[in-house]
Amino acid sequence: MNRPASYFKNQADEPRVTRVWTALDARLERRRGRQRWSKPLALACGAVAVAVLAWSATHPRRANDPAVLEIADGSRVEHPRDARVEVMAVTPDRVELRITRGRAQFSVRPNRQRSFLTHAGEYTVRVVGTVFSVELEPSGLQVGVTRGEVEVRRDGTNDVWRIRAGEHWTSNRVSAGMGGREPTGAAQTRAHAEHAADAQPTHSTPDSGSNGEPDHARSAAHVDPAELVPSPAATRSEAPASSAARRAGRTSASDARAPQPAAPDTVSRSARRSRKHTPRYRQAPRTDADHSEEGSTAFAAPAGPPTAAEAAQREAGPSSSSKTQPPTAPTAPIAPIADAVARPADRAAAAPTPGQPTPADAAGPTEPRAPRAARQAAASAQRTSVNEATTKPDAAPARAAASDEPAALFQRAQQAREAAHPEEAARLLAQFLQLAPHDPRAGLAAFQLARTRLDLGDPRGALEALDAATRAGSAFTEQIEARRVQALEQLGQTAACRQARTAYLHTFPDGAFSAMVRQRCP
Amino acid sequence: MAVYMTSRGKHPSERASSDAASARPTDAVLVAAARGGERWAQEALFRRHASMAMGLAYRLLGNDSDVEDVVQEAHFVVFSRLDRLRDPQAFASWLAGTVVRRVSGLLRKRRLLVRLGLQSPTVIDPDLAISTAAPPEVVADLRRVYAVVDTLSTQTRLALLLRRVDGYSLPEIASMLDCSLSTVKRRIAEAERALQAAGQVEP
Repeated sequence: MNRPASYFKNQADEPRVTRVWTALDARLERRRGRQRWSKPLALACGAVAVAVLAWSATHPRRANDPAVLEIADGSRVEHPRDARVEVMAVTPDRVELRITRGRAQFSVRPNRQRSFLTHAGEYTVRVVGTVFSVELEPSGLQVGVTRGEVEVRRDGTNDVWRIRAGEHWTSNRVSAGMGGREPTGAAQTRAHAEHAADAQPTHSTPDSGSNGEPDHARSAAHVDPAELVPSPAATRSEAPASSAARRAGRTSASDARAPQPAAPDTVSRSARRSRKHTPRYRQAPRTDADHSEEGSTAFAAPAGPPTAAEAAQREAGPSSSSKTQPPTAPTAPIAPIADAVARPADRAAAAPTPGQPTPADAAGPTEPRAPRAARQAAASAQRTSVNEATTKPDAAPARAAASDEPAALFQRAQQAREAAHPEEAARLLAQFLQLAPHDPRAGLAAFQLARTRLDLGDPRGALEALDAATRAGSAFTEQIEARRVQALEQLGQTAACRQARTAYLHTFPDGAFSAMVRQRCP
Repeated sequence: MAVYMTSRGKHPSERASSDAASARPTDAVLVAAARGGERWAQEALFRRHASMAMGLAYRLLGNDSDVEDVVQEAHFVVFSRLDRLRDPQAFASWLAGTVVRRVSGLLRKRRLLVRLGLQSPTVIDPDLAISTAAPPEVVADLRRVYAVVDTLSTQTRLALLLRRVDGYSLPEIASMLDCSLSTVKRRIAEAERALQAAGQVEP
């Protein structure tokens, strides 16, 4: 018997089948259309995904990967994504950028024919060839130089600051570049302890340098080192009246030459700095003799004696690590530096007598600086001559006179540095260290010597000076270790440089020089 | 009770396909072509099995209103998933199983609508669908079956109809309903008891 189903009427007549097929074919056609694109689309997406994965595997992207602006001559500007850098002009003779927010790192190819100007707030940074950074935040403007030298000019004025490698310059007067924000107070310079230690005249505020003195003059454009590092040698008759002098309410010879009254905000700033900044960079305990000498200079001590907390802060130094440093003068004697092969009895002979002319003296303070290679050679020669001098038996007659002059030596060294005579400064600092290894300023002097030798292209001598600064118990541990990395890199001792870099970053993971140190000995 | 089993033991659709196998391309050939995107192969497969699919849907649903939708949807599904068909020659069985599953879903939906009062129960009149050439005992038997199916659960209803009307084997029914053989047997036994309880089954 057939199935009952076979006795049902046919449900699939031709018109019905055609009708259903037409509808079905339309659906299938739409699906075919989607499939026609879906496969190539899927393949393309897959290829893109694979490419992206491959790229990210070979180019690991960090969240804070910087944006890079490259200029045809090879100059580069790197800045975080949240920073804002505008290109104002790129011409054969001029590159002009403006930072309106955030931080940018510049690497500028040397080109004397082309000015490289960076506007930030109401300041303009001019550079010929260097590596530096400019950071513009609502709280202020900061310029840091990694290599070379830049010139910061306050727009519309003649205020100029020259900032050299390893230095930072800060001001909170940024109203022009920050949406018309008026200065909340006065320009306030926050110098690193390194600068203070180095006593480089690169940390003055516009007000402190704009008191009628020639703005381009290095001595007038920079802050008085004694303001940052009060020292008995801080006599600078050619310098303008410093804010420290105004703080003390004294009228100096410079003040007399600079009759312009201080701006009201200057007064308030000066008062603030007297409390916050000046003591901070004071490294050496002041002696009565120091105060007596300061009384004859344009750089007065901060008004009033420091409080106990301020004194503790001063002695602790700016870096966190320096808190471990003894708050008093170094107790360990300074070991000889490069010239240290000399017997202790002979070291004093290395110091010249007050009337003894030095090579730098013979050249005169206004003589232009020699080329770098020549300066390096001169520095090396001076180190050698100092070594020889310290070992000469006939230098003994000079010992007595020299032993009385460590303060004068230190003073002359500072003057030589301010007058852009690094060779002489290095020689005087070395002599000072030999004469007064237990002087409270010995650590500072050793570090200054290291920096000067680095600038002279003498990294080996700089390393020796850094070792001496460490042994002297200098409070500038962070700065010393950062400079050690720099010196080792210049020496080409990559392994040692990396070791020093690791040690620095381990000790100061958020140190002021961590960014610079990370770029060393890659 | 008369059980209308096929004597050849093959699926009805397979028999229909094999009858003219010498003159027409086989289902396997058409499936291969359809997999390659050939529209004509899809149409050929559709027209070859449309009668079987429409008749099956009609017999399971018991009315004509949703047959075209069920057949179209079942074909769309199988054509969309041709790559999953392991045995191309079993296209007809695959299509029949798809039709059964679509009918099952539709019956569940319809039952829910009836329970919610959104749709009136479907009254099945076998006399309208059965050919006048059908033997009287067949017509009487179909009347008894269709009189009770609306009282059964969906799966039991489908098992009964596939077994008593379309003559599928128990394993085929288990495959179509996606359940075990014992479940099929239990459901068919349940349906037989319902028929006996209604006094409409021949002893």
